[in-house]
Amino acid sequence: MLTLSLILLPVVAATLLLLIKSPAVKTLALGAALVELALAAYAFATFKADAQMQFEFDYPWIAGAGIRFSGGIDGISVLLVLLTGLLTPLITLSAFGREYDRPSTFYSLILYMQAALMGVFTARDAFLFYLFFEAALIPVYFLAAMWGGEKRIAVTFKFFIYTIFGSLFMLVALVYLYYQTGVPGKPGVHSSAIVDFYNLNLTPAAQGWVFWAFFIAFAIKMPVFPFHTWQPDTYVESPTPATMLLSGIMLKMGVYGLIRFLLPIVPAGLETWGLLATTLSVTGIVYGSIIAIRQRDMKRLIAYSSFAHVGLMAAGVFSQTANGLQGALIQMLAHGINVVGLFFVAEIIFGRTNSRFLDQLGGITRTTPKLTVYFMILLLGSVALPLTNGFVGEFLLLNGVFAYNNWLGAVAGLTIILGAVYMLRMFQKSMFGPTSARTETFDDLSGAESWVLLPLAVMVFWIGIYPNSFLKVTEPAVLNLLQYVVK
Amino acid sequence: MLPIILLSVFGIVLLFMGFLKSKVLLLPATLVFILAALATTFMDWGKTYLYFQNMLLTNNLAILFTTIVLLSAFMVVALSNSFIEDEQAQPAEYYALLLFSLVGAIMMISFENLIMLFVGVEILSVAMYVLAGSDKHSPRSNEAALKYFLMGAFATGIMLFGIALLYGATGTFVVSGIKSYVYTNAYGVSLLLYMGIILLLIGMLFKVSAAPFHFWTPDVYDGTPGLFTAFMSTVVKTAGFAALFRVLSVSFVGVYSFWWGTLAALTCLTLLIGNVTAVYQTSFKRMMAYSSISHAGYLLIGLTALGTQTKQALVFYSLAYSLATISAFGVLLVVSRQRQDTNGVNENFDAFNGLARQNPLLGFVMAVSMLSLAGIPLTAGFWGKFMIFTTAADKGIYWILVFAVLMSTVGIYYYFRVIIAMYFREGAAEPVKVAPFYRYVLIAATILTLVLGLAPGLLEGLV
Amino acid sequence: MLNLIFYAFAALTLGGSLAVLITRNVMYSAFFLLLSLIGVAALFVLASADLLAVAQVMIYVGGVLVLVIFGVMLTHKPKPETTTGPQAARPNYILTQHRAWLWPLLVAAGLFTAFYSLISRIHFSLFEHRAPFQTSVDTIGKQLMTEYIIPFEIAGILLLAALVGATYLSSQGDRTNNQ
Repeated sequence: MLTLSLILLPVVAATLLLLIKSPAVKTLALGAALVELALAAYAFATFKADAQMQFEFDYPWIAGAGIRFSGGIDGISVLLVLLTGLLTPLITLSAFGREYDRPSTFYSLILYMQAALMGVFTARDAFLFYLFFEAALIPVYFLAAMWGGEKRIAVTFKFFIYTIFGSLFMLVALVYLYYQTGVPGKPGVHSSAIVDFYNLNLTPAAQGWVFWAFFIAFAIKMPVFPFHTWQPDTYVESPTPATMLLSGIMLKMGVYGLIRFLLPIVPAGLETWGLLATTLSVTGIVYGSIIAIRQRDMKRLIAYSSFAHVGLMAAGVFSQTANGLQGALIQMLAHGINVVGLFFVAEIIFGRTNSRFLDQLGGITRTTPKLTVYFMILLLGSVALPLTNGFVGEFLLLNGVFAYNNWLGAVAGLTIILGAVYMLRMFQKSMFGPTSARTETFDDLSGAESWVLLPLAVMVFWIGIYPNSFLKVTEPAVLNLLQYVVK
Repeated sequence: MLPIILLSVFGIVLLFMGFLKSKVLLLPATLVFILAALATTFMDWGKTYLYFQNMLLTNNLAILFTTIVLLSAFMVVALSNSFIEDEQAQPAEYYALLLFSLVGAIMMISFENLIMLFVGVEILSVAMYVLAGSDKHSPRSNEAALKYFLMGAFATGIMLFGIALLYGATGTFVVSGIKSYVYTNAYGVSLLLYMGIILLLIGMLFKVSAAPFHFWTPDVYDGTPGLFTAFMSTVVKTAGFAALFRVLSVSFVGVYSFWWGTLAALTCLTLLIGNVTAVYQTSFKRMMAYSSISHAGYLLIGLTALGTQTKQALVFYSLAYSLATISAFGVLLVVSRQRQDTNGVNENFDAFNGLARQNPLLGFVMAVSMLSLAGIPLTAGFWGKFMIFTTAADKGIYWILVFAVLMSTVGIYYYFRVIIAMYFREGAAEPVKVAPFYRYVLIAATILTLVLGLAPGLLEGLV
Repeated sequence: MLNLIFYAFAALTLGGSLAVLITRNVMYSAFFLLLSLIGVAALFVLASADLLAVAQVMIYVGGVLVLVIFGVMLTHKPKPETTTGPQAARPNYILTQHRAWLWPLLVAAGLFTAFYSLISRIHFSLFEHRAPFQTSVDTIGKQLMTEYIIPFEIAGILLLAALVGATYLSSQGDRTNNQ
């Protein structure tokens, strides 16, 4: 029931919001998102740290075909549910600063997106997962294309088609797996529950192509090198709330998919192709970081850094170790918090100076002590300084990758160094140094802006200082999943 | 059976009502007649009944297809409001011909004797030839009627040749009789039967515009007045595929290994041609014509992979496709008339520019139909495609599945051009005027698409 | 004896159809088509399908062919250069041209080969039967009224639709007194 309301509450709220024309729609949207946060926090707080699926719901959907409308929260999805519940009100609040026209459509699209994301992370049926996976694209497409930058139409279209192209392959794989399930003695009875897929015995050839179908779908979503060409343009052209949704939560759908589907269903395929997949991920880390160093546009820089970070998460998943998986889960939470914060800072700077280009900024720190502090906290989290959330995630991930393959682990370790380079460079060029014409008068954070950044900063330290409050929740489920992998 | 009798009588009644010289009465009367036919269709629910010495066979599947056809006709007639207000229009003839074509369609759906199939195809086609040319003063309409008539007559001739050869091989016209022939002569099926199957298939595939028999479709759909194009692209396809399903799944399932390869090749060709050529169109109507070819391709996948899932897939896909197409054409009709350009009625993509801002309802209706046709989840069209894909997976023909998935991606491209024009481009300043009843029909169709997209299990136990 | 008659009428049919293709004069083509159709009617008689033969003569020759000839005669013709002289007195002397005959010929040859190879391999069960001539009018009539009554009556709807359509398409529409 709790899970179902986590999915349905934003839908109902969004539909009601569409009918409201008054400017109060912003506050109402924030209210709905906060209620959702309360539900998500409650789910996290009362979650029992074992390997069971909790807060389940199960209804027939296409009963004769064994496809059911069923969902629940387990150790792997609980952090992501928390992330979605936490980030959405912050994203909504962050949008208050800029007047978006047609606000009722804007805010209801954000809430629809939240519902779809909740559905993705809690679905227990493969086709329900697929439905939410695709449905999440629609609100973000409209958000980006209606309120985006100049080149938005072509860019978002490319994003949409590229992503759907990948997930259609996943659909083929899911249909194939669905037909492999069955009850011996009863022909024509199949099931699309994800756990039933785990117990399939697939032929080596099938393992191979199902691996690639899943890999391509999730690799385009995250993105993983070389399927990343859609990402920087889309992140830059989208309005910042949409970018936050994309980078903060939606890319986690790809990593979640890797953990939920690829790892347990095709372990033999992972044996064969895992090295290639990990190499691609690690290449992405280095490639993304190097390009980020060269960026002058803040938003594009953060986009490339996101690309680099997600490569490490993917590599951690492919390492098939408990550390790698735990690292991926906690890094998803950490990265979501950090990147949303960083994009918000970029948005604040753009809002005040009308520029995102580093050479046009400088010396902002003179008038903005609060912004400096928050920016630095989030930045250090992204750079993975110990005591911040990024450190916990990256440490575990590098541990996992190193255990899988020493060389790749060493190359992946470069992320820390390179990350420090581009992040600190960005901070230095925008905050320190002489002020430019644009940054002479720069007001410090308003109340609403502080309210967005404060929870993020708190989370950075909470996860960094006491990560066990999160790790212990996920550990049993991770160990349970790994038993399907180590065959 | 009763719907056939009722619709014939009502058609004649409508012709007489044309004498009354009151257009106001004709539309509600037609709607009432169609509803009456729909009600009587359900009288046979749950029974399998053979009428008139093996002429017609009604079972649940036939009732479902008949319902889809009648529902499509109901929506098309309901949307014909503005169309018949033209001075030149003679609505009594249009409606009567529509009802007669429904008679033909129902015969194609519930035939048991191949002669009934032929007569049904002919009635449907002749009524369609006339309706294609109904805009007498437009040269494109005349061209459409002529092309349709010539190629359609040729195809019907081929089909009749096939039926004659089937009789020569089996000695019977009855579908179940042919089935028993095929089973008793499993190892020595006469060559005449194979030839008959091929020719019958060619004739029927022409009617549903499968490649390489699709060359008439773009010009005919483009030249026909928009309302009748909507009727043509939904009712004719649904009836055609119902007929194909009956003939292939009952009579010829015994020789499946003979015809499935050819049908598979034609399916891929249809999908390829339909999707790839639609990308290059600038006119919305022509794009819909080519895309209807691609939808014929998807439905053909269901037939190629004939199995236990096929009938459910065909019913769901036809329903989703009909709803989406008719609502799309409904929006097109109203927009193209009120946003005319220098050549008169503007049916290009740029007529839709900025529509969502001025008329949010029309924008939403069109967006949902485009998403449904593209097969994006949350709409009925997704589940239709899903069920078709599962029929292919059930038979293990995965290469068709992958090809269809690739072509789906191409399809998303041209369906989204309308959405992009509506939502993200600037257009004319005044909103488009829509009559209230028109609006209700569009809303109902959209709601049904979304409901079926979220709860496909509703139709499940029925088939 | 019967074989001779069969060959004669077959030759008439084939010769007529060949002549239809080869003559350039449209009117001559129409008349050769007449001969070809009569030949087919005779072949029907030889196959013991007497009702079909009569129907063929009545419908095709009497109906369709007459319509074709009317169509040819009523077609708008380009104005002759001279208003007097032999050309003006023969307005129905329309000549066609044989353009692009290669591909249709190849297709026809291909179809012929296909059909012939198929038909020659088919075992027709009635070949061994030497059936005496029997009139089919009686049987067809009874069957049309009993077993095939439904298609027979529904064909009436088809005719009605065709009639309504033809009237509608060819009418000028009311210029005053609109509906």
